[in-house]
Amino acid sequence: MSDKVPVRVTINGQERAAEVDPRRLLVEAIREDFGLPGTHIGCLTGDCGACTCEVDGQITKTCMVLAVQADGSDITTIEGLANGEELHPIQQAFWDEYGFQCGYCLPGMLFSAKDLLEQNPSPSEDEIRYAINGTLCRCTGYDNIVKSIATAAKRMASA
Amino acid sequence: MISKRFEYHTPHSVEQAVGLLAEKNGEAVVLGGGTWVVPDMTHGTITPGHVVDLRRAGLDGIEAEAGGLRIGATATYTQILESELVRERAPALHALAVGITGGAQLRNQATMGGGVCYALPSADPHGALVALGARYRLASKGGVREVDAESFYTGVQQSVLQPGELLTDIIVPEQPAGSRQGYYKFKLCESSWPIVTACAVVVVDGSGTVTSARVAVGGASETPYLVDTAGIVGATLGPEQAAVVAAAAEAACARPYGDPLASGEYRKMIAGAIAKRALLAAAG
Repeated sequence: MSDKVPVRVTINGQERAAEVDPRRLLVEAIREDFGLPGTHIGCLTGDCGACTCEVDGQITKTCMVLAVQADGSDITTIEGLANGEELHPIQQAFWDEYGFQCGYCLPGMLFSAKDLLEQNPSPSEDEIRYAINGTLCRCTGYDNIVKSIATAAKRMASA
Repeated sequence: MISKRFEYHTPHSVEQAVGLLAEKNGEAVVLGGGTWVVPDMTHGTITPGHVVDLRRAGLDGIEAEAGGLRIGATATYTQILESELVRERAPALHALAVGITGGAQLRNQATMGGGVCYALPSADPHGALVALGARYRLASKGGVREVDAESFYTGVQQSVLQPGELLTDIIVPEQPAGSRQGYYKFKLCESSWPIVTACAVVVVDGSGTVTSARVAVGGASETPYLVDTAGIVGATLGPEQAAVVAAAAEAACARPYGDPLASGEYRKMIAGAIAKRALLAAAG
């Protein structure tokens, strides 16, 4: 029982397949089977948000999903945000506004920001703070993250 | 990685799911949104031999039912949040979904039905569903039964749900004509678990007199409970009447629930204030 199970996904636009143990979490499969370590493992409890990816259009904490559950899914990881060498405008804003220090929380922060700006292109500070409340940052005190998202919103609106 | 080996199943119907549960005879865990079950498996808190994933069982609908509504067991908080039907017929559940701790990710993944089954006293849905008079539809190989939310919970992570049973739907009945709903959740900080929640369904007539009031508290006691509101029916709702309900809410906290975030004593002490806030939110 419990032999490996085939899992097929589209990940950052590429079709990939792997044989995974049903005990593997999606975040582990992304990092180890698909070789994309930008998605981080933090708490494995769903609290910290460092494992956030977009799964079938919804931002998802991938430590709470079994890899086998993702069979057939379309996944975007933090590696899929940039367009080649050109950073996503949200990434660029985090860079310019010192929105990160160690960078561990970035998958959660960047995907939460992207999710917010897709639904609400000109959010208030309160709306930004609400949008990132599923991700913990232990470096910045959040202020520069909020500033980065506001900057990204302005740039994306005028682009 | 999860240590203990298990077999993963994705039933395509309720019938298949309850068949699997019966066959695995207590060895199976039901996977809804995964926000409890997967971390519990990762941490070894639970070590099931079989995982029955409901994602393809067709249980995520939110539909009108007899003046009220039916929320499928695997409907996520995002679906609840986006449902016009919920906004119209159970606005307290809309307010509840807005405030779920854990961000958009949790709202996308967590299901209200899963929260109900896990029956952790401090989780968001219990008090509100008791106030709304919700019923839980439970299916097993032997058939279907419905249990009132109020009598579903028996203790900390304990309920009347049997090993071969599956929650399929949460039924929210039609609320009294002209009623208004209020929900209040108290938490320690943005990312904290709920400490105490309360929900009120109140009817106030044209002259400002309360003609009916149903108030329930979650998180304070080991099981959610209704508060005696007889003291305010027939009166105009003011600070004195709200204080009567607050006192009743504290008095009714029979088995105070404590965890590392807040002691039972503390939760019982604030239960009245939280019930009052829900009541005033409804009346407001």
